[in-house]
Amino acid sequence: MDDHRIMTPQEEQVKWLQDASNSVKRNAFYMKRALDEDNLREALRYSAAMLVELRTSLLTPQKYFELYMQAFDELRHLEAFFKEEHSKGRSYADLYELVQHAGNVLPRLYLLCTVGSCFIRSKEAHAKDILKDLVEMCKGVQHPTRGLFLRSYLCQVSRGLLPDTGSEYEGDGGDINDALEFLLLNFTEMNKLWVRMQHQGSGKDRERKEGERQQLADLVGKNLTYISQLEGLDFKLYQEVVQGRMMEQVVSCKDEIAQQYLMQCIIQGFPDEFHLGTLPTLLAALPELQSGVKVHLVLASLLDRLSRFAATDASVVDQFNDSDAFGQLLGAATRVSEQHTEMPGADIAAMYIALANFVGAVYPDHLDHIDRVLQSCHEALAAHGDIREDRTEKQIIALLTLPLTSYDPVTVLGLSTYPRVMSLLKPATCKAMAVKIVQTILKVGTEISEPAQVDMLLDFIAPLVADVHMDDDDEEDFEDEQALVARLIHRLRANDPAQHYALLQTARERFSAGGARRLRHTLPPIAFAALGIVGRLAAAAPGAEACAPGALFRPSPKEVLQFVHQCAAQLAEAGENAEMALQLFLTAAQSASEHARLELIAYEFFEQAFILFEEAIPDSASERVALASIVGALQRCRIFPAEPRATLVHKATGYSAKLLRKADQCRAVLACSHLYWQDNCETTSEKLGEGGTAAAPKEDSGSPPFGDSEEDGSVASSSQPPVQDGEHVMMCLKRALKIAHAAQQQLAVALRSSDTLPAWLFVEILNHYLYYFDQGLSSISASVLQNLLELVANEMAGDNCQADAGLVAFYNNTLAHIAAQKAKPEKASLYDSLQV
Amino acid sequence: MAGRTKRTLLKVIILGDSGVGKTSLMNQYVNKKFSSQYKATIGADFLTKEVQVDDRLVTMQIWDTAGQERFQSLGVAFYRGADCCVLVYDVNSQKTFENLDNWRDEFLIQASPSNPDNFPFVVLGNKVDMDEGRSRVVTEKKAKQWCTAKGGIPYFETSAKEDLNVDSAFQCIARNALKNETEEELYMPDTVDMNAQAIPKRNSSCC
Repeated sequence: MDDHRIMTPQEEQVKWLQDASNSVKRNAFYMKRALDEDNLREALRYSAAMLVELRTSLLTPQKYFELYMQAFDELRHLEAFFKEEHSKGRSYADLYELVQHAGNVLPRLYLLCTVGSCFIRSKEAHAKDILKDLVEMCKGVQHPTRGLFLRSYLCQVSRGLLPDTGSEYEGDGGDINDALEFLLLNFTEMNKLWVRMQHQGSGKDRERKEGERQQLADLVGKNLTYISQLEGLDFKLYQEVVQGRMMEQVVSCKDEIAQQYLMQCIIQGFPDEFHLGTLPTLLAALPELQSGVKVHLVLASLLDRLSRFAATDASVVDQFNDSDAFGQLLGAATRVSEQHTEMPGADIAAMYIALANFVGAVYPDHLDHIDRVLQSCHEALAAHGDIREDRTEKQIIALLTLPLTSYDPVTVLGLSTYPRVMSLLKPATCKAMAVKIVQTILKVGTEISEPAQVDMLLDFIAPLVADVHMDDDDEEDFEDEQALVARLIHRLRANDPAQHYALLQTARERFSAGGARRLRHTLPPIAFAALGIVGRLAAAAPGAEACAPGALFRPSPKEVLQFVHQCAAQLAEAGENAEMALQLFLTAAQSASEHARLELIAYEFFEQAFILFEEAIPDSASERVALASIVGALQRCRIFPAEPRATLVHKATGYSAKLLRKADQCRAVLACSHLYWQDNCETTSEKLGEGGTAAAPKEDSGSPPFGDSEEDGSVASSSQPPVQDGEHVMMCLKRALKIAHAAQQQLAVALRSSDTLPAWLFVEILNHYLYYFDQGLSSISASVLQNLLELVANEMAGDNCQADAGLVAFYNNTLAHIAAQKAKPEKASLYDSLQV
Repeated sequence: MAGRTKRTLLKVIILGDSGVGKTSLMNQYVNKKFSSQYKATIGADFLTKEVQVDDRLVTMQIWDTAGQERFQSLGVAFYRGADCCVLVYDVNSQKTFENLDNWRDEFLIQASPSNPDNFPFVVLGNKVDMDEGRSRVVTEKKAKQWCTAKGGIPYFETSAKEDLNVDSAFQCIARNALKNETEEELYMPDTVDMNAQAIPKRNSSCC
């Protein structure tokens, strides 16, 4: 009595199927026993009883199919028996009558179909007559599931028996038109049954109903496979009869599930040539479909087939072109989006993705086609209203990513509609897309070498070039993005320096318009790239400046340096970038001095650096660093004659005296000492051992050929001999000592005698003395150095100094250096008198 | 029943990925026809062919199936009772070869033959004619290795287009199917009527 337990729907299905299946087996058993006994009447009785099980309404289509297959297999025994009966002399006409005595319509029709197929096979009747009879009689079953399976049975048993072209049943049995008529009628009737299912019963269990309809789909669709496989179905017949009938049925049934499925069947089930030849009719149906149909999937399916078709044979692409297949497809997409106003934006975008894929596969060289796809997509989405759902954005991004992956990024820059489609995205998404574009270019490593491409590129990545208002603006993200853009600037390059320069000018113009915030990231790489050009221009032989006809006018190094000047100045003006601008001026000064050999320009850069130093460096720590940079740059410049150089050096030393802290002053003065002592070329440094003051100027064999640009009278100058002014060096060193003592006293007054800072300074001073001693500066005798050594040793003896491990190490290293120098044979004479 | 001179019906199922040529092989074998146009098969359906195996005349029911999953909506109830399963791949497509495993497993699960280890399969490597073999990616050796690993499945290299090896492959299929012809589970009606009455009873108590 556990029958009362409530079964799950699945258990119920299994049980119901089991019951029905048992009944089929039982009746089949008796049917076969009757067959063995040659008892036709009994056999028919039991077969009908078996088939009655197919009248069930309890089973889901898949379970019903299992039952159907079981009955189907059993009916083969009956069929074999009919054939035997026939061979014994019984006519099929007789049997055809006899089976109609079955009481129930469903078993009757199954039996009739079974006999009917034998009847046709025997050729005792005309195929077309029997088929027509059967397909009409099947109208007697109007229950959807039962009707669909019955008609499916009819098709199955009549397979190979249609009066198809070349078939043995052709002729008296009819012709291809009869075969088609039979299948088309069956298809139409089945589709009606299938669609009607949707409208039966209550609307409550709609989901279940739709699930069951989906399961039944193949029964309807199979008719199309039968039609497609007809030998006599040529293009003409397809175009004139079949396609129209099918499409009419599909469109007029106004059922989403049927339309969605059958469009796929038609597209997949019939040959490519047919589709290509009837494209207008096929595409015209798309906008007519119900609004819930996912037209983009249908179109994608068709496009996929067509692209595969094109891949099989080059001549197919010609056929595509002859019929303007692309134009037709694009037009269809446009009409679909116009017609289906409530189509989700994501689906619209997906439709255009399919088109873009098609273009990529069939017309890889037609970038203009991609542009048209983008344009059409832009129009469709723009007209669509709200498209900023995540799902839609995802599709748009996929669409935009497509050309990036299949074309060279530089080629993609030719898509003029691309930025417009991007602008449909939310600012944050748009920016993410821009980042993706930059990353792609960096990854692929292509060079952008046309000014127009630079403009285009910056349109593409507009959200990274100019400020856009965004709520979730993250400073860290901003830094990362701008770092990418900075890297991108190094991808702008051309072999011709003039062209390269033009690229940078274009970029700078655009970045200048994009707001001050990002200049600190974008201007330095532009300036550095420009300095690279200066080097190339300067290194080129003078003769190369004669322009090839049509080439860009070659800029002079001076012009490019002025460009760098503007960049640095702009950077300084943008606020909070003074230190960076100052560094840029110094680097440019060095380039002007050492590459372009333009003294006045180099001087101007130093001037600018000094102005920034005076006016814009915010604190003493930054001042110290800035001054060190100035001194370092100036020390290496060899372009300046004595007088202008003296002015610059004077300024630098002046500033070092004005630094806030004594320690800073001391160190700055030490650094300034080097402004009076330039290294000579390596080849001459050995000879300085004699300790003369300034070494005689040597012929500078390493200098590049003189530039002969005469613009503005700024003629390239040659390098000056190294400055070696021992007197001023000594003055600096002595001043450094004085400042260190002053610092010591200052600390004592402040009751901070234990501070080791003065000792640090003394060791640093000692190191400078050692350097110049080693360089052979005559004012530093061994005894001077000895005194200093003792002074430092005294300082270092203090407990406070001994406790400073860093200081002790510094000092010990210094002593070790002296010992090492002493040990060298070539230095022995110099260091001999020095006692450590 | 056994006494009746019934002719043997062999049920053969052809499986394989979309586009490998299942329908074409069947059409070539049964109708001696070939079309190079691709037409997806919707659902499953069979053709029959009478064949002579040694001294027996048997009817082969050859089931052609949809390679595209979307056209398999009703499930695979027709696998049941199969006597042989033909696995087809395209020698010019690695993926179709790799998927043979899936098709075989799927068949064994769904058809649940009584003796899965010895169930007869036959493998066909189709489209060997294509591009005069230049586009071929699956070697005969590799295919045979797979067949050996699966317990010595017979292997044929075929071309439905050129009618190459199609007949001999199906001869082999018929022969192996015939070998498999196991005893159908014999159905003997027993104390059936009790069961038969259970249905109306339950129905009435339900309402």
